[in-house]
Amino acid sequence: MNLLTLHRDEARHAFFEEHSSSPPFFDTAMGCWIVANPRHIEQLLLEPRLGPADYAGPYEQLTRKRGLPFPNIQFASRHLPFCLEGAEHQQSRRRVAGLLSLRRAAAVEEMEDFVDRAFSVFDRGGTVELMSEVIAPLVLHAIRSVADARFMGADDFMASAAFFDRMLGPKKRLQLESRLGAIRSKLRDSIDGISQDEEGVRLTLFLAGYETLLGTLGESVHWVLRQHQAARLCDVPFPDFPPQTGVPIIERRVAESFEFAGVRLSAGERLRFYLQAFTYGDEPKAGIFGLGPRTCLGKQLSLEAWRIVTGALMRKPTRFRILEYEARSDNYIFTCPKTLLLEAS
Amino acid sequence: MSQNTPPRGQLTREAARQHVLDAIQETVGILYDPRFADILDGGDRDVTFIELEFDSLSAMEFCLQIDDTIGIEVEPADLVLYPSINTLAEHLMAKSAAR
Repeated sequence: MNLLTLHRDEARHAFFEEHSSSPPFFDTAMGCWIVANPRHIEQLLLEPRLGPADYAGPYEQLTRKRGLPFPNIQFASRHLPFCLEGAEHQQSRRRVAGLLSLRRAAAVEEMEDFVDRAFSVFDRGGTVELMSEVIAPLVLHAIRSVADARFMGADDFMASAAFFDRMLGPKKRLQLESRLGAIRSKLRDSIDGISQDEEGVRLTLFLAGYETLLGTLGESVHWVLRQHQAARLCDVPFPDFPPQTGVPIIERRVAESFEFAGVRLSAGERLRFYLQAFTYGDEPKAGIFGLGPRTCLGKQLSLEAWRIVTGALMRKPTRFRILEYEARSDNYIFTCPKTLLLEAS
Repeated sequence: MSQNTPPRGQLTREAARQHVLDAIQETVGILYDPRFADILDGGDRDVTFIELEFDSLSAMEFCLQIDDTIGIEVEPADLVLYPSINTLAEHLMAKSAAR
């Protein structure tokens, strides 16, 4: 079983069926505990003896051993809630939640204004590449609007979610550093007097918002459409909740050793949680957004985006067929279609 | 990232394996351990990176070493996908043929 790419392999369905009630197990190839049992995920995400994954460690090592500088990654590590603990974590989450709450209505309005224009590509007939022609522009509108940063383009965000991928090699880490530097420069050049906290909160939205929302919408639309091939879009019964997630995996580090479900989780060890486990059967679908003190802050915006996208699809009398689907393979942490080509007639 | 100009052209299997062994020695130095003495003595035994006690930090250092010496980009993910000396050497051989 290749756990590195399981989250985007068809083999995952059998894996989750097999492990839905199993205790955590240690995978030597990945060097961490694997948790795919939804009940255990729920319990462990509330466990105070687990801390955030160490995203900054590999960069510190590259600086220490090779003198490679990563000032922008270090900046992100000091501002992203995913990297922080205790009071700093709470403060950082409050900043992100504050901006989301302030700007969400504007983002929803912007998506609603834009959605019919985006989906008009179906009216021309022929082929429609749903990701690049429809979903990506819509998500870009949403994230730019929430961040109040209309000057940002899709290229600015692309592959920035790689920040969370521990399998990145040194060259890609340097490329990421350079991309973050470019984003920060653009923010400082475009927003007069922007504070470090304001910069940090926007960086959080870009790194953790753009590609994850793109993935959740893209994977979910594909999941539903593939079960209704050759139907008319207006006849497809889209569920109220996105059935798939762009964030299939999250990680935590054991801060203090403890026993759980018959296994000993030792300080320093990593745990890899498969949130995809919540996409099966009667599992509570909200589990894909995690739970506890590190629940996804973008949940509400994601649900609004899903409502808008599926609403627009259900207004189309177009008959469709999936011609091509290809998953992105440029990282080992997220799921997102690279291509979702439909034939519309 | 390479500090010197790395050799170009296709690697033979033996050369690729030797570069992997050299990078392992540079990174974790574990091949001096009596458990692996036959490997340093020229044996062809295959050993996984887990047996060689690699962790995520040593994996990163190993990737840097490979890039420095032969100019082929390797990522920590490759050590999961090609989890032993010989499988990684074959992967490097294939990558060198493609450049």
